[in-house]
Amino acid sequence: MTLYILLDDESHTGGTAATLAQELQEAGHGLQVEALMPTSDPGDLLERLSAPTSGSGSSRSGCAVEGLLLDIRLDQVPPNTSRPHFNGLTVAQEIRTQQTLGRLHHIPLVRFSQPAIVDKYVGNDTTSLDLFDAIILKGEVVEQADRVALLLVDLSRGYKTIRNLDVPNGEEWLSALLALDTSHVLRLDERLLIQLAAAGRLTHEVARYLLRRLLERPGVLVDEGTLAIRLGVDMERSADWAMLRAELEQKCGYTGPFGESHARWWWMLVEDWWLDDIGEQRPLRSLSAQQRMRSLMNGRDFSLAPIQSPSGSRGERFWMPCARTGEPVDPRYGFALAPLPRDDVWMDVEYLSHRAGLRFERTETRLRRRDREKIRALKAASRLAGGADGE
Amino acid sequence: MASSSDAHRKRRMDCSDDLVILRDLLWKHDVCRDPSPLNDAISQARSTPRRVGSRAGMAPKWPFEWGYRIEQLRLEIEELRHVRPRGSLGSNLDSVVTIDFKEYLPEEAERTYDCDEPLGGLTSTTKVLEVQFELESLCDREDGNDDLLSAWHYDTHPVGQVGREAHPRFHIQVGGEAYDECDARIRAVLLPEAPRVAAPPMDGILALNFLLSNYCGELWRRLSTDSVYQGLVTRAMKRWWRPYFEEINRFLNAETVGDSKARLLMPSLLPYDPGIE
Repeated sequence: MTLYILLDDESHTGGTAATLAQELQEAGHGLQVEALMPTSDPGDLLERLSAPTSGSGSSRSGCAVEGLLLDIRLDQVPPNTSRPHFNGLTVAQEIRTQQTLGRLHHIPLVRFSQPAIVDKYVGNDTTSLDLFDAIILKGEVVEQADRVALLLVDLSRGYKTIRNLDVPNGEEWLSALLALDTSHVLRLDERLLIQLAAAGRLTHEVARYLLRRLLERPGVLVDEGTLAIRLGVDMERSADWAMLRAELEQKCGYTGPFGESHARWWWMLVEDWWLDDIGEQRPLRSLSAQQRMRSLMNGRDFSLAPIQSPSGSRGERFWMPCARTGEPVDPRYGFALAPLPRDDVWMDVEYLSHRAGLRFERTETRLRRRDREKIRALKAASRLAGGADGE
Repeated sequence: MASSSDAHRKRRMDCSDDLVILRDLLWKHDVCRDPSPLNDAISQARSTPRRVGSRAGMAPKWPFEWGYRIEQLRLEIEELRHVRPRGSLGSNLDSVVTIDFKEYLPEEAERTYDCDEPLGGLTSTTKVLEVQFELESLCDREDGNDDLLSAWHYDTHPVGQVGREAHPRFHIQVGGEAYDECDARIRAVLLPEAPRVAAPPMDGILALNFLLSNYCGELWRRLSTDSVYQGLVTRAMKRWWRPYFEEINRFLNAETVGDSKARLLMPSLLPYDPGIE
């Protein structure tokens, strides 16, 4: 059983928080959620979180609290109740400080709010994002309770794994953390390893690094959609995609912290598999979707369908999903977007497909001037030829 | 004394470290917006040698080899001048390069395998050094725009294969299969196989140095004064160019000259009587 506390000013009987907590619990995965009304003293919450596995600080069930869902706005409490003069972002910062001081054990923090509140309190300000391990909108629970419940339980499990790693610092620690053989760890970008090792003293720092920089951004790890695109497989039309996926999961799957809620594959191991198991000498990147499929099916009884070129887009060597439309992009004919402020050189660059470039040329702020000019020239050429123009 | 495998481990790490330096410089100067082909190559360079071309579990047929492939790297090239046909676009052009480098392990040169491919050649264990470069442009014509392609490749000729024409071990050639797709549209220009121009060997570092010097001259001049870049290229030059030019130099300065490895590198070097004035 994994216990989360949901700190929300709508935790009163019949309030939305109580309903959401109930829905998450019913989704299964051994998740228990206790909706808690904030008080005017943040120390009340800290005291509760600091308790070990039993006693006054533990939950009704006697389990230790293993995660915290934080609403942003906490001051809409019922009349005649002491009103908190702080919000969920402040609470998150205080908890991280207490964890760093060693006064609280490390548990995942999840921002849990409504879009209107996020717009008002956070907007485009990203400074508070680092406090949280996940950002969830309340509406997601209604639509995807199962996914959210799995994520919460997996966050908690991942924290435990990181906390309990009993290996000395260095390559062995990295190998144990990433659940990856040391010889493969040494193939990763050295800066990634140095940054991760530097975060090693603080569980929540390691967790954030894994989540934000490895799992949520394609690079050394890729998600299922990107994996299928790189293999040239149309997942929707391929009856045996699940079989191929399972084979790759066994040979190249990421099995480190948070891997249950974030299905990922080590890209370098997929490339090894392509050379060693498929026996193809030509690298994936050099082949069209059709050619990849032919090599993949050679000697195998799989029912797989290749990705068809989306109409209006160019190229057949698909490599990533378009950042705006999700359609497969052949980078030769796509437009590389400028990196985000914290992007590292070992992370994959995001692309617009050829078609999306024509469509979003005016609104995509991360397009470079040179590409914008190129797109305008393409549009002008298309108009001259009497073809369709972008929007 | 370090064993052969220790020496090769060091070779792999040195090679991948140099690719990291190159990638970071290209990224820093925004000449390569998507470094992922270099990231893949770095990871390959760090991996242990493998037998390519045979499936796992099957009897080994091929020797162990190691290397990397920089596949489909896009370079932001500078504005071209004096382009033909006149009227074709010379700026904002897309260029794509693929660089392949494979070598056998030193001990493999002593073994024989059930394959036709003879091991060895200059820099005795080099299997392939290959560069494929493509550049696309547009030409504004009276009857509409025309897509244009410029393509050349740098190739390694296998040791032991003798062609009718001279095939230098390492050579540059214009055209080739890259023109297959637009073959029916080619007008006014003839692209025969010849000439194959002998060129010194180029690994990933030297190939990109060659490309920058030809297509990104302004940046290349700046990089040429950067001590990190100088060190990178110098290490590669010493590894690849020193034996190449020493071999040719030895041939030209020998007192008696017959067949030598230099003639593999540059077949147009004929055996000669050193007494000829």
